[in-house]
Amino acid sequence: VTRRSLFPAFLLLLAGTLAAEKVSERPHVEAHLVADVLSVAPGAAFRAGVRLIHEAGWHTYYKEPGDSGMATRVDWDLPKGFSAGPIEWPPFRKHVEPPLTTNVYEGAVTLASAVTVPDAPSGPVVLRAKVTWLECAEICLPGKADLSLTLPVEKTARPHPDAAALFASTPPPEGPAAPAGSLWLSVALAFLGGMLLNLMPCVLPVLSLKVLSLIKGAGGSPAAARRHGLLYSAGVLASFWALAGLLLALRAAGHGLGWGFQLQSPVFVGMLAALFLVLALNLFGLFEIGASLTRFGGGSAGAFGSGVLAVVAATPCTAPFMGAALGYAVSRPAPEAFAVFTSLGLGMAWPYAALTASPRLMALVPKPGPWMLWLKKVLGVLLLGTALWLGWVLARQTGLARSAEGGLAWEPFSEERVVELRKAGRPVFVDFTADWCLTCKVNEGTALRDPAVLARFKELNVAPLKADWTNNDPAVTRALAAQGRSSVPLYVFHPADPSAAPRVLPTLLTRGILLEALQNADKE
Amino acid sequence: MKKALAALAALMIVSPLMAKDPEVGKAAPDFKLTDLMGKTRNLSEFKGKYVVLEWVNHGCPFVMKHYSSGNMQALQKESVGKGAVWLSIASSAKGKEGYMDEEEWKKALVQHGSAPTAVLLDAKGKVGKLYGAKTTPHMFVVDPAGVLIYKGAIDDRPTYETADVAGAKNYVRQALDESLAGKPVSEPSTQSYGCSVKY
Repeated sequence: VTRRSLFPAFLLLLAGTLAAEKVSERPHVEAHLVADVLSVAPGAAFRAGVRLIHEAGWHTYYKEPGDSGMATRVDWDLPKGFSAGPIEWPPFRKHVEPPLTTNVYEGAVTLASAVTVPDAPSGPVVLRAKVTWLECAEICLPGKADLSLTLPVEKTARPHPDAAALFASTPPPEGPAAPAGSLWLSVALAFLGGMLLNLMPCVLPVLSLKVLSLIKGAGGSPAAARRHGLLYSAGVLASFWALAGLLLALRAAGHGLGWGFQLQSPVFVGMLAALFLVLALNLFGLFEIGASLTRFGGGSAGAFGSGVLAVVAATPCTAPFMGAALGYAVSRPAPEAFAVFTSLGLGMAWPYAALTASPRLMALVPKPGPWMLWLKKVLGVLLLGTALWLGWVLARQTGLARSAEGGLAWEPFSEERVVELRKAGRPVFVDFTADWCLTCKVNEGTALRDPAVLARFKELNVAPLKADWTNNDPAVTRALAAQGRSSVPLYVFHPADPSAAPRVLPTLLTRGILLEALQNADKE
Repeated sequence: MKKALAALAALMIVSPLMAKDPEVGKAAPDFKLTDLMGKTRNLSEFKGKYVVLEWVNHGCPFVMKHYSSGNMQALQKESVGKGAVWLSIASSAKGKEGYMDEEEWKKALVQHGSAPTAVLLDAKGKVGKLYGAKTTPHMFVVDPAGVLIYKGAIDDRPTYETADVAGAKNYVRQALDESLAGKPVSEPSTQSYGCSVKY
């Protein structure tokens, strides 16, 4: 290789290092073409996008601009054999100027697409994009840029060292995920949700076990019972703090997660299923780990441990009021997130703590007797059922089983599909769900299978979309965040009228609630 | 009774969100505004004729698209030629983009070759809000009986590119022609596009 032929290669390298080649400069919005690689390799897809940098106070628009504005448009002009996928629209911010609401981008944002590379690309590769946008502050101006970026072809693609920063939104959009409501409201909702969590089918068996052990030890001193209750509460609280800490740490590392995220891991589900199985068998008296379960009821570590167990068991369930509170918590700074989680723990723990602390309440608890043996069997069946269900979840997660769908003809969810269906004038119902979410499964097995509901869906030609969060899916996490949520279930109904706002339905669905929501859809 | 109460409760929750924009198929709300001659005009005075309402702001790139291409002026002439009344309504607040006084408006009409029946000044935004006008342009068509028969975009190309005028489906023309032919309007409500109205 001669020196002369090396020189252009060096220039190309230099251009690649800059990677964000600045081509156009507008008064209020700058556009750059960026890629997550410094070089292109045969057959290796990469990401490229248009980075828009907005002057303070100016914004451009999301693909669904809202009441006014225009979606930014990117027309790629790529070498032969290359193709660019659809724009992966980052989360937007709701811009409210009564009576108008629009969906906008501010700061810096990258509208990225996946680019496929042919098996034998000829280099250097010149990517071109024609970009048109509308930039608005108080007034609106048209924006236009012809951008290009040149990348050399190499055997293996070199990743761009700053790719993450080039594709990130700054400042991170705090929302549509800026969930409605204040800290105090969220704390109050969390407390209420925590309390109701005790009644959910996941926690009830564990709690009943606690009460049983309490009855057994009813002869003990009130002081011992009180201590027991406090230790249980401490276990609950510590577990919620651990969860909050983990969530915040993962969030800091850039993972989008939410309530029940640990159930997205098959290993965790397997362990949980085994735990429930052991507990159930124990209740049936199949084997006595003797000391160990009694200790669960008795010793200090046992009392604390049962609090932990209650929280672990609670994760597949979402109680009413929890969704909004958790959605708020995960989008806020750490102190506020901890406040919400603490309130959730206190709400969950206090009924049991109160029971153990008050001799008068303790007197209301029935005396031990043969009925306890029966109750133990019933609880055993419940726990066994939970274990079996978790086994099924595990099988689905690992692809060993497929669910038998019935009722509505669900389609997989995507933002694009929603837009498409609404353009076609169809109302859309989105079910954010996960196999490990018991609350979701109950709703899907009852209200969403009700003949009257099914008939109404059909009559209004509602398109049912399922957003499955069984395994961590960033697209679903983003869509949840767009509604200010970080947990399933979530039910969103988009009326047929394209200008009408989507409506969020309650966590626990009933036939009445669904029919009511669909009824209102008719009006406009 | 219980059902009625539930429906009422639901309506109370939902109706503030809907802001009671006028509905297609119902009577278009009457209004009173002054034109460039200082004369008071009502919607009701045009009963018996088709009325097209156009929300306008000449500083907006989407409005410029339809005026610099001559599309809006042509549609105004065509509609008036079919016996309709064309009212251009300016709801930009004083000091905001698109606000012009009577003299500036008269110059603008000459400059653009616009041909509306009248330009109505709505700097307080009262009529704009009454109709739920969100963008410029935002179009409404009222039939001779005073019933709203169309609301929404001017056409199906939500861009500011002049090149997109050719080949676009014009919803206003479609509504007028279908209604004049005695047919129901096939697309009576669309999502308008453009700049926000500068209330």
